[in-house]
Amino acid sequence: MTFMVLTLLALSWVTLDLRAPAVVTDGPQRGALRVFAPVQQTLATMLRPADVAARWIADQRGLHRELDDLRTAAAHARSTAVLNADLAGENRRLRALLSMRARSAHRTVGASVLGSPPGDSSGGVVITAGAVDGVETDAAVVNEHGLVGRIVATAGSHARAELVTSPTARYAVRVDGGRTGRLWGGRSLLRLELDDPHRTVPAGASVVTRAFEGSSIPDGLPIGTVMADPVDDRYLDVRPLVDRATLDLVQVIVGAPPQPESVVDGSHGRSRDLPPPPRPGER
Amino acid sequence: MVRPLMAGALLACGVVADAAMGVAFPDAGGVPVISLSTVTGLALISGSSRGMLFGFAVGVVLDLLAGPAVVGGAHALVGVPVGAVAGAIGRPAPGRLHAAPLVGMVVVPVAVTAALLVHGLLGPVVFAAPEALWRAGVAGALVTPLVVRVARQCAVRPLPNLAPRA
Repeated sequence: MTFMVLTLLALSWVTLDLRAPAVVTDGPQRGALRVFAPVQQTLATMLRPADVAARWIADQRGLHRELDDLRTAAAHARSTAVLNADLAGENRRLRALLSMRARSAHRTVGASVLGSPPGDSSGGVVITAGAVDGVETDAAVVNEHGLVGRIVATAGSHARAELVTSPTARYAVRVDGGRTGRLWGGRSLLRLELDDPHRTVPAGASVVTRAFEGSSIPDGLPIGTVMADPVDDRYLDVRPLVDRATLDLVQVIVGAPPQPESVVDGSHGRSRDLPPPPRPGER
Repeated sequence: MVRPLMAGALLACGVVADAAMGVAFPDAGGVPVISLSTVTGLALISGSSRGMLFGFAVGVVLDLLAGPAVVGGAHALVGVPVGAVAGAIGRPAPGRLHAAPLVGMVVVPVAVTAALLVHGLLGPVVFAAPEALWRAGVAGALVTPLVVRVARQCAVRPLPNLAPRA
């Protein structure tokens, strides 16, 4: 009975409220609000610190999650920055290569350096351009800095290059001011022998290739710079422009015609006729 | 028998506690779980008839406080059966008061579900169902036995000894 009465009362209230909202309960609601609002305000004042603390704890969880996300994003950004730096460096080298190609005015074939061939301790490298690309033996290999070396063997799509730093490398060169000489390879420094040892060469002078008959090495390709302290009266140390450690992109000059007779320096003849490199005891 | 004044005070505390929860945790959704737990606890001791009255009274107060956001009478409509069911469970066998946490843990979420249904039928649902249900279970399990304990201390007549018989 009580259940029925109370339920009917509640249903009646619901019905009246649905039919005429705020008519039946407006006054009582205002009264309840008047009584209850101060209580709720007091509670709000008292519980505000708890609310702040609860929000702080909830924020901590969110902040930790956000921190993890930010750390992940930072790691990703760092890796992206490294990648961008690599790409920028590669772009810079490619632009320099294009510049070198424009300066040399020769037809070139681009290639990547794969690495040293197994068992080759002389400093040779294998590149990704070969006979199918028109690469021939004795062709000059250059990068953005200057002469890297020359091709000593070709295969289908690969070739082996001897670097200017190879102990067996020999080049006819010219120093600033038109002085001529011969250059031999070395591990870290090249050895320059001037034709006229009595003339001084300033430190920092550029050493470039010198054309002569039968050679496929074009004239004027930079090789290195003269070091400050001469080895002795006869030999000078030359710091090569090529760095084996950072060598990755090169160009092979293809189709360079052998130098005509008119540019031959008669004192030295063909490149294979260059004298052998000096032995240590010769110093 | 629980003193009427004591019962009123407990019910008022339940409503105020719900208001406090609403202030402290504004994102909680405004589910009156503590009020319903108080009704359940008092009904367990007082029986169905008084339980229904407690439920109706609390429902009316909640409806008045809720304002136009909730259809008037909706809480009262839910409170009556809550008091009736909880009273029916507890009164005939006082030994069941030991199971007050379990009763609260079951009855209060059921009451909240019923309130959700009623609110859904009569108007917009004003609180999120999943969060409301687990909060109702926790509040029922914690508050109902507390109310039972307090009410037993303040009973007009001593309630039966609930200690297990030898």
